[in-house]
Amino acid sequence: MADLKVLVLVKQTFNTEARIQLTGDGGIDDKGIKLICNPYDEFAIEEAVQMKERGDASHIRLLTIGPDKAVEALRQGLAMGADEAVRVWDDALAGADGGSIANVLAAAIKKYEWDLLLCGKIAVDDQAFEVPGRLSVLLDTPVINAAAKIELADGGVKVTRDTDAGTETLLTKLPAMITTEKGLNEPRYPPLPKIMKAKRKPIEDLSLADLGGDLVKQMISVTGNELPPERSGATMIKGSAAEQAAELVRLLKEEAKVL
Amino acid sequence: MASPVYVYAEFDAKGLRKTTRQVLTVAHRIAGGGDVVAVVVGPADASAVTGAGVSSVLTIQAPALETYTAWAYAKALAGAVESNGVGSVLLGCTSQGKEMAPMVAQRLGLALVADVTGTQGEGGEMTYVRPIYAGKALSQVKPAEANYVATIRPNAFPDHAGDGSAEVKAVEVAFDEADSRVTVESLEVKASERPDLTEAEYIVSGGVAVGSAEGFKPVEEVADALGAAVGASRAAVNAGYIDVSNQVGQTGKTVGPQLYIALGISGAIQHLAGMSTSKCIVAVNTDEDAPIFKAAHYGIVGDLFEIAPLLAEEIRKAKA
Repeated sequence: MADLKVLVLVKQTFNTEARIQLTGDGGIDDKGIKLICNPYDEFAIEEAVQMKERGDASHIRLLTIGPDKAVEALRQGLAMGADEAVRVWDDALAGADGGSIANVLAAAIKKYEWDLLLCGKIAVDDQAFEVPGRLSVLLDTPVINAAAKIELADGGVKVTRDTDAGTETLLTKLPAMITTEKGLNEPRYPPLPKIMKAKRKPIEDLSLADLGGDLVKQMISVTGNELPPERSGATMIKGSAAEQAAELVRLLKEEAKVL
Repeated sequence: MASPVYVYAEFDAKGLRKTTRQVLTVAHRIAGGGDVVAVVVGPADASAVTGAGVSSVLTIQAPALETYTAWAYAKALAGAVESNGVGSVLLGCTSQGKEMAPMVAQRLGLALVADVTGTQGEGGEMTYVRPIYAGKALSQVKPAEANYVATIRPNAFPDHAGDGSAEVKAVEVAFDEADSRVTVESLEVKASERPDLTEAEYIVSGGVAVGSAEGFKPVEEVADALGAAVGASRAAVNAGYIDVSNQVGQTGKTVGPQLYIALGISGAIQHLAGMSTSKCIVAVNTDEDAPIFKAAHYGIVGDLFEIAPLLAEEIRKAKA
């Protein structure tokens, strides 16, 4: 029976069905958008909760960077089974780049004891795949990305994942850092009693002043956003199956020029 | 003297990855006539890169690099760049590149521009275009400093025409035991005669409508006629009809072929996120309201089992 302390990083993002619109000055409009816990982070929370249920983990702490509404994402994780949560916020963090986010997370993480650090492989909003890799260097802990399966083995962890090269099984010692891929598990929908109970679980609020150091440094800026051109919809090809096949190939050759 | 622009030379079982040649195109745009230096990490053959259109090739070899692990390879790349003189570092946005890049950026204290699909401007004024929100929007970003790390999406840029014969320089990077903390227990390679999905010019994909593993045969027939890679929707993979290595989509592979033929795929947002930048999209589906028809350039409302063999035959005739 392992007694692992698990730290799970969580980000609150737009829901994945959200229709993206721009504001007048080229920013992304968040008016009326329903926010959710980044789906990839849900796999991380669920994995930690399952480890606790198996007796492999003894404590789960969630950590997020976000304004007041980010508390909802933490409450969801607490309802799923995490023990406590930490939220870091400071107005200086609005629009902070990946490097700054990683610095702030590292400073917060260093305040707590942990054996296993989990988070989603990417956030569905910026899709940068940046923060875990940066954190890995800041914490001097090699990160294993996109885990499809995580098993504890011999004082360490065995992780299976799919890459361009094929299916890889990696071994690492604890403390370990792992990011999660969709399909790692099926995140639970907590029942109402657990949601109510979660309201009494502690959430610690930290500001940049609590973390010390010069952590926010903008190395990259977004100069604008664009929506991709509207698709006018497909040219539908009619006729018998044989006619459709012939016409399609003709169009691919003569019009699209891809054959 | 301007800093060199570095390109991580990535290899797979077949040799130098096509994506690396595309990364070189972007590297030369940034370098604007200056030096582009390839970096080869581990046991790969540097001579595969000397004629790719670079001024020199740096190689790093060490026991820690015998097999790829992100931590050790990123440390090697960052170490080589540091010892040769820091400049921008470009990698393909592949499995390797996307996980190495933020570690390299952190080690070198540089910004990261991830998953670049376009560039605007030139040289020091270059801004980058990258997709966000599953491709529902495109962000324009600009690094604050002259040097940065960037990952380039496969098939978003043309291949750089190789030339020249660059010199190869071995570089020493120190590793300690801690750098081998992650070890590879096994790697199950999916060998295939077909092109790599993420680099393929032609892809034919099947959805759960194929109904079984056997149901992929018509998909494969069209792929064979085109010399294409075979893709699949998440639903088809989950149903066990085909291996996960064929999965195209937000949690599978991101592809950008010249031609993407979707057979029996409805077109969920997560699937589109993986293939919407394909130059030409063809959809075949029995449901005329399937969302894929909004994203496709050409559509056929029909049964893939009826259409696919006829399509394969027409393609063979056209190519004869």
